Amino acid sequence: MSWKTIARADEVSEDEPLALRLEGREIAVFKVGDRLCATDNVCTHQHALLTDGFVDGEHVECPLHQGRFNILTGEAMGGFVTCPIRTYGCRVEGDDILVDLTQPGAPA
Amino acid sequence: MSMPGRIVVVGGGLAATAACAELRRAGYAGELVLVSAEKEPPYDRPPLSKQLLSGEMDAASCALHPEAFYRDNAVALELGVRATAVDMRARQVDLAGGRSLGFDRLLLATGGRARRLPPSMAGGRAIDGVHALRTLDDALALKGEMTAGRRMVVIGGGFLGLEVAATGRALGLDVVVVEAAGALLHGRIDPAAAGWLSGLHRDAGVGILAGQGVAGYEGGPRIGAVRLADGRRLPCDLCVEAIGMEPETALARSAGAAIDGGIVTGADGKTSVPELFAAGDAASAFDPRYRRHLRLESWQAARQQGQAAARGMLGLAAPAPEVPWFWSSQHGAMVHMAGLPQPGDMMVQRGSPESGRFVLFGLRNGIVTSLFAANAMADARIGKDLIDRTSPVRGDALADPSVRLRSLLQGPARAGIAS
Repeated sequence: MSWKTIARADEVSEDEPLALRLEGREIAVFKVGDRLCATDNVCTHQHALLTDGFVDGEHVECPLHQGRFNILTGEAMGGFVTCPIRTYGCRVEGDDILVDLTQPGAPA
Repeated sequence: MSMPGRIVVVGGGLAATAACAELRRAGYAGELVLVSAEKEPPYDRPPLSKQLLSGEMDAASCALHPEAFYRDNAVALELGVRATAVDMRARQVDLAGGRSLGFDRLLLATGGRARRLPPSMAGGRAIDGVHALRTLDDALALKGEMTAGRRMVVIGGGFLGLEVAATGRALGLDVVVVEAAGALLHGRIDPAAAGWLSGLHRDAGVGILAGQGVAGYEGGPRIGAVRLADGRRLPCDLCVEAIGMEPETALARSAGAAIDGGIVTGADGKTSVPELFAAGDAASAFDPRYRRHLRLESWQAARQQGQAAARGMLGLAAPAPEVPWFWSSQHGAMVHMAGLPQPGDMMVQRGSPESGRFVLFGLRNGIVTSLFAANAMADARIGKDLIDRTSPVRGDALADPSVRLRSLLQGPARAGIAS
């Protein structure tokens, strides 16, 4: 377990995910409904940041080839992507968002 | 479904592989052969002017599919083999070297060639260091010469030229873009968008010379300078001609198919010749949305037309084409475009170019018909849906950042585009 405070909760909205670099990885934090979710931010197809893409409910669409991933599970939803993205532990404590790269995101 | 015994696909790009994938997905169980003049398995072109030149991707990672794709889908690859002629009566395509391949249906996804300036530019002599960019080989040759400190002149201020210029700057080259028209991407984007793009390049240290013709090349055997129409000289170590592409239509012509700026097809990829189909950059496909034929040089169109032609070859209904969609990345900025801009459209701006994040919408009769988005993909995707729905929206609502674009998607959709 290594939870790290990475941002304030009000820095992420459904339309505005947060991009950050943590322990050498590009990480995205999305808001889906009331939930905050952390995932890898780089598309598994070609190099592009998913936070530059389009959040559509619980899905995010890559800004290049419009490949879609499920934000909650990391699943590749077809289009041009076949490999899932990794999800990470993510929770809110007070006003802070905490992320733990050593564990996967909670199942949806 | 009519089941042809053998389908031959000529071409090694996205339209070709998208067709192969869709044929198998739709249940086609016959023979499938892909013939490509290039020696590499089909690869993706967008990275060639960006991540491949920059070194972020290598040649292998540009492959559209892993080898397993061709094995699993029983696609026989004939690579490094040029198709030279089509005989529709005998239903066979002739290959360089004397072989020929019979077919029941033939798909031409032949793409195009880089347009080049005439040899007279260098006084009719061969000159080294002058590049074009269309193929992986082109990109690798160019990459080998793009070393820090060198001076590069890019001829052509379209998307390809600007992407090469941006990558060149990132690699530490001195870069000048020469564009014959008065503005970058003349006729393709609104002047306000072109102004922002010029600023982006100038801020990154790229010289932009718009409204400048090129008169010739100096030097030899290696290029030493590009001479402009006004007599100025731009000393350089290398030069890239990025002045567009010519669709490869010779095979279609040999088959007797109608050509009009591209191989004329329906929305299902059918050409004017039975059993002959075309898709991708070489095709001028009918688009019911615009009620005319469009030859779109884009990733989305190549993929979609490949899929549509696959279904057409099996006698299945082809889905209607999506709203035209295009992207580019330059100096770390993402650009998205949707729809087709038309002269005389009313332009509505959301966000500001100064902030680096904005959308320019084109409206006609209160309906969104096109958009140019800078670092605003989410708005571009919703805007694309607005274009698709063709319901009237208020320009002041589009321009107001406090109005969520999604909220404008409500209301009844109309069919077809008012022109």
